[in-house]
Amino acid sequence: MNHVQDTADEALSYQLKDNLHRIKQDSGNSSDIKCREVHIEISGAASVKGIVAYTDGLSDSQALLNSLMNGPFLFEADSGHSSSLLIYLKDHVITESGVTEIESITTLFDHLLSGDSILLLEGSNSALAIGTKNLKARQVEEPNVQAVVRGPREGFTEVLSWNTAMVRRKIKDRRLWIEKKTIGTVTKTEVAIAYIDGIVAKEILAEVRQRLELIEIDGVLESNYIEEHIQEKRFALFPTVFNSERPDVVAAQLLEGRIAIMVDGTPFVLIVPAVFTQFFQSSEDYYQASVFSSLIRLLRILAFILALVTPSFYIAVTTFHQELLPTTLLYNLASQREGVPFPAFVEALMMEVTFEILREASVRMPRTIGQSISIVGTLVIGQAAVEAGLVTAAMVIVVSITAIANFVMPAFNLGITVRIIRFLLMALAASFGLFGLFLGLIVIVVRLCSLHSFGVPYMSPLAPFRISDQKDTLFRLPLPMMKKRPVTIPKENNIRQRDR
Amino acid sequence: MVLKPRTRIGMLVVIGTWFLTGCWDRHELNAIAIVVGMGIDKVGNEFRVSVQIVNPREVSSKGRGGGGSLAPAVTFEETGATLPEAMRRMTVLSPRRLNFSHLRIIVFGEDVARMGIRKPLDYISRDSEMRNDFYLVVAEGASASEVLKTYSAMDPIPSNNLNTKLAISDDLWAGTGKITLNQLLVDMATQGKSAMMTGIRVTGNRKVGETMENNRRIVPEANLVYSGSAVFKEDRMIGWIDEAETKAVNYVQDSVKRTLGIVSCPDGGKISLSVVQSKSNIRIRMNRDTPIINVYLRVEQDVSDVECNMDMSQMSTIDWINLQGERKIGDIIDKAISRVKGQLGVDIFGFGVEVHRQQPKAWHRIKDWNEVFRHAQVNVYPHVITRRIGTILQSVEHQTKGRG
Repeated sequence: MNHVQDTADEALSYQLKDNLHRIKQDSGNSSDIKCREVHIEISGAASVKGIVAYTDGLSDSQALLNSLMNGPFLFEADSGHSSSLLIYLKDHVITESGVTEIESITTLFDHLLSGDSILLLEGSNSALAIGTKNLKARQVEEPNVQAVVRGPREGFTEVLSWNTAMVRRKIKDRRLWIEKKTIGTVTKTEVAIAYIDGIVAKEILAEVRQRLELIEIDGVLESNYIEEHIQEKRFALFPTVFNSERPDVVAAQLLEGRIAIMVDGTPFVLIVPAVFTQFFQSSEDYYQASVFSSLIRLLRILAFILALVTPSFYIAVTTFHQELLPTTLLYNLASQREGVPFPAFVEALMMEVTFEILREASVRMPRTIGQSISIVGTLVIGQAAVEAGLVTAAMVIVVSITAIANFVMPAFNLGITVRIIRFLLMALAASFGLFGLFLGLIVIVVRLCSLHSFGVPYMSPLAPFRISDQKDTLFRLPLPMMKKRPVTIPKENNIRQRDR
Repeated sequence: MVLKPRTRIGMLVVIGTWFLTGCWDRHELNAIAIVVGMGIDKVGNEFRVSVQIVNPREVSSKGRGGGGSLAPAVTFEETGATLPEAMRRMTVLSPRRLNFSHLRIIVFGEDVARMGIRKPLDYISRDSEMRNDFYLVVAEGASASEVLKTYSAMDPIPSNNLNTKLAISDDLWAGTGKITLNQLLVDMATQGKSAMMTGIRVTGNRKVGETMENNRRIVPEANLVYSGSAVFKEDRMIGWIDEAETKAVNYVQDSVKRTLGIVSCPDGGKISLSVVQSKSNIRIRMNRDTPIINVYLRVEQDVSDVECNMDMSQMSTIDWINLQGERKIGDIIDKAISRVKGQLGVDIFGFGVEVHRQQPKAWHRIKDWNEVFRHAQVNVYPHVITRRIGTILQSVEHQTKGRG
């Protein structure tokens, strides 16, 4: 299903002219493909004509040209003149570290377009690809989305090799294995699978390899392209693949026996298998005191529940179950509702949708305008709507607490899930009251319990319950007490700390 | 998008439910009238029901009325052959649907109480919307509607006012005794115990009490006051007992939380004793067919004030105070029992229940417990312990007189 017909893989010609013509033709005379003619001087013989082809902006061929023009070389000409000259240049002249011999047009382009320089010689049907990659990319910066108060400040970048290097710097062990493969028939994006041999479970690794193998797509521009292909369900509400832009998180997950999938061109690294409780954990949990981290985790779960059910619970209680409210609170709410023209559900829907609009606007807006958005948001919605009697002040509080609680969750993708489910629960609560709300919650719990991520039950270690993993699920016990790696993720070696 | 048949049916069912509900029990907060008080009177053959509804705009902290231009609560009255009929007919008066889930108090007029409360109680306990945490009281010398029409001080909603007033006085004074629906139904159905209900009176000028003027005064012209209890024989009220007698009943029934009593000193002064804990234990012995009822009371008290010249540092003084306390409590209970036995002839103390429990054989030989109770011998044995005498030792009286 190739969207672009690949030209048939052909061997290189002996004629330099033909090869040059081929490069020009296949790349459609693209202006960024540069071909520089060189003459290799040989002492005691005629110079040999050659071509250095490179992609403008991707490679730095200055040093290569310097060394090629540093002749005459003490090369003893014999039969098969050009081919052995190529070997000679590779062994004695070219100073760059990565040099590959290539013999076909396809491989030539693969190297040329990823930043290598290609050296072609007259009378040789092979060429050299010389590693002259010089990437212009964003430097290592502090991660934007997953920021911490205490902990490493570096985040992944768009360059795969830098990213693998950052992980390697954390895990200096030969058992950290990184497999590379290319996905995307057109983009030919490099994807790396990183894992720690001896910890990772072989069957999960095989599953990951197989699922990646099955991807047949023209382009991979971000890791979500991969994520949507390898996740369990097409219409997944709950994320079954974890992602992070922090090398320390990836390193920690690898140590627990998970597998990282790093995609060139994005700082977001995928981590599988993912379990539900993982989305409530932040790397900072391990950089702060354990008591504090445990409390913060409980707070996150509370925030999750608040973000999920506050509006629907409010709707259900005020429109169906007034008897559940304390009497004074009922007077208070009833007095606020005097003269409000909409039913509680419409009121809540209006406020929630307005908030979603505001949030989306502030994400797309240039930073400088963002401030005016928040002023409009607070003034128009918070105050004016209440004063105009269109919504109750209580509803503004409900929507605000929901919105703020939504941001407490460390995983952004779970936050999106909560936002979607919130609206479904509101509709249920508005038509069936608490009965509907709890029915909805039961469906969600059943759904969560039926999910798997690469063979691991999504709700583990809560369901199935694993007592030994509770040390690092809802609570975070002191690190010296975590002698074993969590058993939730299958693995070969479970010992984290040896007993003394 | 092609769906599996199972998914398709599932979605159809879920979407269908939305159209089928009709949201029959959905009521927005501004579409309901919160009923906090209900009064039941008898007019001829019909019930007259009064319903007190909160006007939330006037009650909330952010009241827009500008200092109470409207009444905080509204009372509607309607008559009907039965209670439900009166309630439904109320819709011609009330602009909103009545919601009974926050009912705080039900007031029975003395007339209806004397004629029997079985009929109204059926509706009240059968209705699904009413909870059973409200109190039931009888209006003494007034109709229930008069009680619900009176403005109350502090808490602008009269029914709320009545509810908290009763809860607090029951807790601290024990001269009232709160009755909830379940308790009343159980008492009425139990042979060995007669029911009681708290009494309420409207004091002062009732005409002014019905206007907002009542709330503008520092000393309200009219007020709603709890006093004593109404005594029932089965479902009919047969008489009143006063505060002290109500307290005696509470002592025997072990429902005194805290209260206060006064004893006299030898020199004419008075000592106030505040009861902090009381535990009663009823033992029944049979003398042939006549029960001998022994009530053992263990009361812990603090000395609240000493208005006489006594040496409080002596243990003998404390012993004397204990003795006086025992006499006082015994006296209150003895008096109450003899008056109830003599004048009312029903057992509101629940001795019959204890006879049933402790002497089941004898109980089955008894045909009319109230008759047996009238001749039963009741002995009260209070045991009083003084725990604390407060922050000073000697009385001010003792200190000043002793020096002079």
